[in-house]
Amino acid sequence: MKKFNIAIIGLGGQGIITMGTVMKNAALNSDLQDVSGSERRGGAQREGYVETFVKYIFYENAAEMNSPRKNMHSPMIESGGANALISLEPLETLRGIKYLNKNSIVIFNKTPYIPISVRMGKTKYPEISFIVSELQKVTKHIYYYDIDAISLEKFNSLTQKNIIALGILFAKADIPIERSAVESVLAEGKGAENNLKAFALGLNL
Amino acid sequence: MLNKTLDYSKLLLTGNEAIALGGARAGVFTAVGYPGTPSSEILPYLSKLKSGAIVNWSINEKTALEIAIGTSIGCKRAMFTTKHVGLNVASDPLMTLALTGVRGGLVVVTADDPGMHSSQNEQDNRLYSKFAKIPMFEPSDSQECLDFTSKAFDVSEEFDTPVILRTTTRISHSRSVVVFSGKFPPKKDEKEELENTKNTYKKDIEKFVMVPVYARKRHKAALERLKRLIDFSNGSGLNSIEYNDKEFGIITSGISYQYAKEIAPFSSFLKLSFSYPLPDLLIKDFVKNVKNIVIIEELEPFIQNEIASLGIKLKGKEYFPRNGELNPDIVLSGFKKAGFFKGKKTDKEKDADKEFDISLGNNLPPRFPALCSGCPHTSVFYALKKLKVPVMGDIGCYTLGALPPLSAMDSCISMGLAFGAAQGLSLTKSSHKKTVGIMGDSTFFHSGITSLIDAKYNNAKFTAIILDNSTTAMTGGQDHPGTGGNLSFNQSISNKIDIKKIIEGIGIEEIFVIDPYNYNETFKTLKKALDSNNLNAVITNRPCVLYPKKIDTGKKFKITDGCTGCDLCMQTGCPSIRLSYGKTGGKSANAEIKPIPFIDSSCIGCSVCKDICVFNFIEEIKLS
Repeated sequence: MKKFNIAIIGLGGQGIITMGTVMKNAALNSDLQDVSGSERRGGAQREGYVETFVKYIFYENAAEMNSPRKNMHSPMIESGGANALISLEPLETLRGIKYLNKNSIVIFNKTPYIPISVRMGKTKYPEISFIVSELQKVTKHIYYYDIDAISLEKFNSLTQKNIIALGILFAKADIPIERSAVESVLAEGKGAENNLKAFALGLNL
Repeated sequence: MLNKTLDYSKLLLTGNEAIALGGARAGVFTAVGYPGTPSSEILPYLSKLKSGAIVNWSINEKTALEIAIGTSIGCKRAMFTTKHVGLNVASDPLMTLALTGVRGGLVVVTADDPGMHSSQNEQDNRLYSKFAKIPMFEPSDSQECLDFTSKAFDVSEEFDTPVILRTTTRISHSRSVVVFSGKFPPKKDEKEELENTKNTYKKDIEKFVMVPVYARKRHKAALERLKRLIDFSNGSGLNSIEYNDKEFGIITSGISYQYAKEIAPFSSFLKLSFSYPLPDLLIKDFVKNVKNIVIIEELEPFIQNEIASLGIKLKGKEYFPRNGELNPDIVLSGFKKAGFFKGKKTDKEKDADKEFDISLGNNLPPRFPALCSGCPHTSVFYALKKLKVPVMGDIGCYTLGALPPLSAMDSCISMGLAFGAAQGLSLTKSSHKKTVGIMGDSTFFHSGITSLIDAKYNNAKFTAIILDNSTTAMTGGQDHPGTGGNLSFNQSISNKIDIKKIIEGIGIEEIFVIDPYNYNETFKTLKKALDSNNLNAVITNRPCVLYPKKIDTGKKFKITDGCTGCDLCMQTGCPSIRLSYGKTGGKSANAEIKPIPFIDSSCIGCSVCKDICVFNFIEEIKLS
């Protein structure tokens, strides 16, 4: 059994859970054999930390796939277990650092959303250069963009930033499902036209 | 995806959605509950499936279970959904329902929240099954959520008992592939169903009237039922043994099974899907055949203690914590302690690529959730903070009023606590200020009304504030009696219950209705209510900014030049007001250089900060 794990993290209202659902539904449409993953919800609209995991599972043979007991895989990712990490908020990327190993691909959005503790002057928000240097202690594969600015410029809205990030993921990481599988999920969903554009935009960044 | 009508479908469902589908397939007639994380999505999904079931939110969990009981007495299948603490509210009918048994199958779905992602405690509701002598299913993934929900109804009817289906956050809120056979979505013929029901009602006083003389008989019946259920637990195949390496064995259930399976797949397993009453024969068999056995379960040592009561001492909580939720890392460390990996490499160690330093990512600025930009609760808490009064609080989004910078709520213990606690606290005279009790509209309906009646009846003196935002915001914007709508019908005046009229009806004479977007008026009115020595009530009247639809007043505000960075507006905790570190103020009082706040584009124009800035440095942006 082989796995490919993606951790997606950010804040409530950024479309994190949607990203996870798109990636899982894409697997359902592809040749991939199984998919699961947890979604952390609750109070999610109100600036809280949100994470969702996507776990793709490949079986060695049909017997393994068809055994209902073999098909059990926890919806969680262990520390060091993420093949890819997407974070839509720079500080939160560091909160997800435990999921990384030296081969992990990290994609993060460098627009900060300042937490209350920093707004109130209780603590400092780390510099982007610090965030990058911390991440570099684990992996060299780090890509970051001002995805908020890109989304605002191209769509005059922040709504597309999550799908742009999915495009970037496909450009930078070797995701074991076809792009077209994601595109067909996006094509069936709400705001299909802009989402397909956003995905293509991310692919070419 | 909802419109497929195939005989076989592969679906990607959360545990909650799978439970709803299982209910629909089982032909549920009535499905009721009160919203609560992580259970909230079950009823909306079931409603969306349009299976023919009557699906509605109830005023609280106790009422919901009572509706389910009535349905069952009418020989129809009923499902009741709740979060773990909600089952406490419904525990009175539950405990005695265990004696009467059922007619139509009755399934209680309790979604527990280990780790308290969104709860006030992390009680382990598996203990309810033992306490009430009710059989329990524990699914481990979405497929089992679907299969076990249907199965639970059969067991309920076969054994004449309510059945508990217990999930946890990671089951309810994880998505995995579900194979569904049969027409999707399942649908029943409502007309035919009603035709079959017509005039079938039968009395059975000895079964359903639990006066002592009948209850004693039913208790005996419940104990006998438990014996039959042990046989079922042993023989139904729901609980099963998987023999692998007989050196190491794991007894587990629910989400813990998935973790264990992933981390120590070489072990032998006794998987408990029907986890109360336990399968004594299977356990004895497993213990006989496997050398080192460990029990892994989240929260309480429920399985461990039950097995101990069979006279078999096994270890479990010696290796795994009794608080918080488990995760792959905690489970791995527990197995290591238990000696499962002695001389063996873990998957992670085998894969040398997975090196990591666990100290990275520590000491980051914490990120607390905050009231939304334009949240109508903000100004009330800001005013309460200024008024320095003791505030007995409650459970909802507004509990965030207890976090800094507002810090204006002093208790949050259970749903509907505020008015009772306010009465009790005011009696002590431990503060020279008048006590405030504060709760939201949905909480008021849930269990605030009774304590307000008690306050009037017992001459209590406090100010009751009801933050009426016309929705159940915390759990995602569900309807309640004050909205006049529900899952099965649209909002209408004829179904709407008026909070002010209820309070008038109780006989409270001083009732103030305020617009919380007008901060000055809000402050003045609260002060007036607090200056009065009577039991009085303040009701706010602005809707939630998120539900049922996102609100934007169309106005935008800005902080003008001259601002000294005094921090007043920052004290609202509004997420749209931020400090800009580049820019500093001219003349702060102590000549200290201070960063200046600015209002970002997420401002929805509630204007509260404009009222709060007494120096008039906040003004509306005139859009040309």
